[in-house]
Amino acid sequence: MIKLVGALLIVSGTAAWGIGSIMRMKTRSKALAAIMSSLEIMAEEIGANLTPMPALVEMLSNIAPKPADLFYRNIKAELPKLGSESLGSIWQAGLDNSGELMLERGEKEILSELGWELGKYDGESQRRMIQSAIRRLKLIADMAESERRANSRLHGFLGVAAGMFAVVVLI
Amino acid sequence: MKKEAESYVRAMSLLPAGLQDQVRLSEALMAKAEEMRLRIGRPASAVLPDGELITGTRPITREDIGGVIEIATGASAYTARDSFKAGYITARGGVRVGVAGSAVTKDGEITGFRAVSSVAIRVSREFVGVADKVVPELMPDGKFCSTLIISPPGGGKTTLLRDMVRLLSDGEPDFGIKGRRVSLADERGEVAGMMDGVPQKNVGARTDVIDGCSKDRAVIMMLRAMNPEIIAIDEITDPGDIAAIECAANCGVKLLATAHAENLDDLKSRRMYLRLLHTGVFKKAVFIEKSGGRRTYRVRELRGDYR
Repeated sequence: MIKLVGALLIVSGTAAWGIGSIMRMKTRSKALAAIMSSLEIMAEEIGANLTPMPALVEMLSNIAPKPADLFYRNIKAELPKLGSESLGSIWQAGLDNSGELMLERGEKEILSELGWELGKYDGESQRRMIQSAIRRLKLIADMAESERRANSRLHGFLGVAAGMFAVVVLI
Repeated sequence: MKKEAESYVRAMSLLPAGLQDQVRLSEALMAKAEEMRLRIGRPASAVLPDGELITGTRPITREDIGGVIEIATGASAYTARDSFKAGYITARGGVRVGVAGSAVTKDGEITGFRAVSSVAIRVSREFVGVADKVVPELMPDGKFCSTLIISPPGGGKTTLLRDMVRLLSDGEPDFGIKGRRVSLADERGEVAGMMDGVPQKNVGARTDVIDGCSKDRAVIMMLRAMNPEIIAIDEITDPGDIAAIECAANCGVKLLATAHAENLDDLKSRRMYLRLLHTGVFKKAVFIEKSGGRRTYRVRELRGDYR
């Protein structure tokens, strides 16, 4: 009986690892889509309405899809520091404190570069800059999605198989 | 701290934290300073009534200038596109930040700046009550006469104009002045200090403001839309302004405006202002004179002065 419970625990543990890996890939794809969607709103608001950055951050903290809204909430909380800190560094800190976005190095770099340029030029240049960041993020998002599709079954299978293998070896 | 020095400290808040020490002055000098100047590669300085004083200990960098523009525009330089074209930004509290640098032109017109190399932060001071002795002299029979405020640059024209607008708008029973509807054409945003559509300076309860728009257009718009009793304009600089003033006067509206000149002879020596005097719109002039660090206001009739 104890062996059976132990075997079940081992298989469950490794299967959970596999499922966790699938969920991480799914969450990352969702986060990238949310970030791109929020940047689309930003480009539109700046290009068409010249919405000031504080109002834009406030708006995105309310309407951006999850989990991107958390990123804008982090920036909004730090925005009163503008003056003692630049928008670029506030944006960067927002990125660093938004672990829920599960951003990897490539997309962090794109968003970081964008943050250092935001609010500095005319509306049309800003819109083009944001659109360029969206295009670059889209390439990464497409790759992440392909990877998720290709590997999610594999990771699930590997999780369960590794558990069963361990059970066979141990028992 | 003196109120005059507080205005300087308020203007200092437009600088990034690491730059504020570069323009710090004694309280006595802060009370007198008119502008802060930042030029890339040069130390910061302050403009005082008797000249420009170097205050900085290190050269100003491109990042310093970028920081000032970021703070002045609330990290939204694109919202100030139109005023950028005219060479300035109006920051919170109505502080004007003049900019210079490598201009971008299209069809012969400046569309913006590729790189800003200098900024001039104007210390804006509000003196409520300076108009109290002047305005009653402009209303001999209880009716306001169209008035031109004349002084050299830095003489306090905008300060007097702002307080006259406040007094005429609010009214003052002690002086027998009833409140009037005043429309203010504040192209550079220095009089009312508009921020998100709200005047940051006291321009009175019955004052409507158009800022960020050329004065001639603003005057015509206000004539059509706001039914003003008095139209106030800061700095007549263009023949178009004079045409708009004539148009308003022909509609029975009283005018209050400022002009740069040392004195009446200096004003008459310039063709544009001579034409303004020829219109006969302005019945009175207020000359601001500085002596011993104090400003005095002298009112005189303008009839016949243009001949």
